[in-house]
Amino acid sequence: MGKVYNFQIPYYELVIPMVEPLVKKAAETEDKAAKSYTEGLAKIRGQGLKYTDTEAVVTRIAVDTIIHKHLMKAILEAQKELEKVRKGYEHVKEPMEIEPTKEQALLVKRFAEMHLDIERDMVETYKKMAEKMTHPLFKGLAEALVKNEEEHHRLLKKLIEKYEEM
Amino acid sequence: MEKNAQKDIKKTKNSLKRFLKELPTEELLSLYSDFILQEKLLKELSRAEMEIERVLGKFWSDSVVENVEVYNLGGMCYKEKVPAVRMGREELAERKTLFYAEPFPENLSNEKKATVKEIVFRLIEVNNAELEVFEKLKPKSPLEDVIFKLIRESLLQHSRLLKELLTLL
Repeated sequence: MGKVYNFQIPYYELVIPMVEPLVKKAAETEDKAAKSYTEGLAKIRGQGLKYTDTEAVVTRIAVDTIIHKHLMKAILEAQKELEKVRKGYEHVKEPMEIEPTKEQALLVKRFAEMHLDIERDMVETYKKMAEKMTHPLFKGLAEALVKNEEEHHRLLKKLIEKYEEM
Repeated sequence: MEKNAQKDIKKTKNSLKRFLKELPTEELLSLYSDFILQEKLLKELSRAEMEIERVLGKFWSDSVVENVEVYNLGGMCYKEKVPAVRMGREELAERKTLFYAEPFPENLSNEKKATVKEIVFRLIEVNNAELEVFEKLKPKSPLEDVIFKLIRESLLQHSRLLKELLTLL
């Protein structure tokens, strides 16, 4: 244990500012790129040129880039919010050092039980989204959300087991 | 569909916040951060859809493209109703006769050919800049990791498509 976010980031790194400058840069790059692709299409049209191949490729890339831009914006916004949240937990140096009281353990167990059903619903919702979406980026994202929710489901079950023993 | 998910996330996030105050554990913090990202992703996906509709609505009104993958936004997005695009699709046959053009006429003047090539070269530069940034990105969570991989894959595909297009020109 001693790790947060499953595997990528050790807990001690939580004190480092959460918003990754490269994420900000990537979000800005995608914003500019989305404009460039739509402008590129407009410029070609502006020349009085309408060619199927060119339009098909540039339009497709423009659509994808708009999705990239919004995905990166979501990550950036999430990191910003998380940075604020973490400020409230700076005092927690190593979460596993916490020995919960019986009442706290019961609270966590109750929380996990309550949310098992919600998690199950969310898995179903994301599965339906994944089935319905045909665009590779949307579909891939929905599939990733299904996996993420399944992981939560496992985590909640583990929490129930862990705090049941206390 | 996504509205239900958004509601569920909000509900879970709120109760998690309460529990975190009581017991700030690794597991709960990790769960909370995932929900923050999920919430933002769902919000941004709706915004992406709206932007795609707006941008393509503008271009498709006189598009020469009959590429189902690009054209069929109704199938691409998870939203059920995309009125602007549906309208565009219904009108496609008629518009095609008005705007149909050869893929790239051989007798096109060199000047015009060079203009299109120049634009495509510029787009290849844009794509390279995107790839450069995404190569360096390091994920902070498994969900971020998947998203970065999806975008990288998509950027590589764009790179291939633009280079193929260049050979046609």
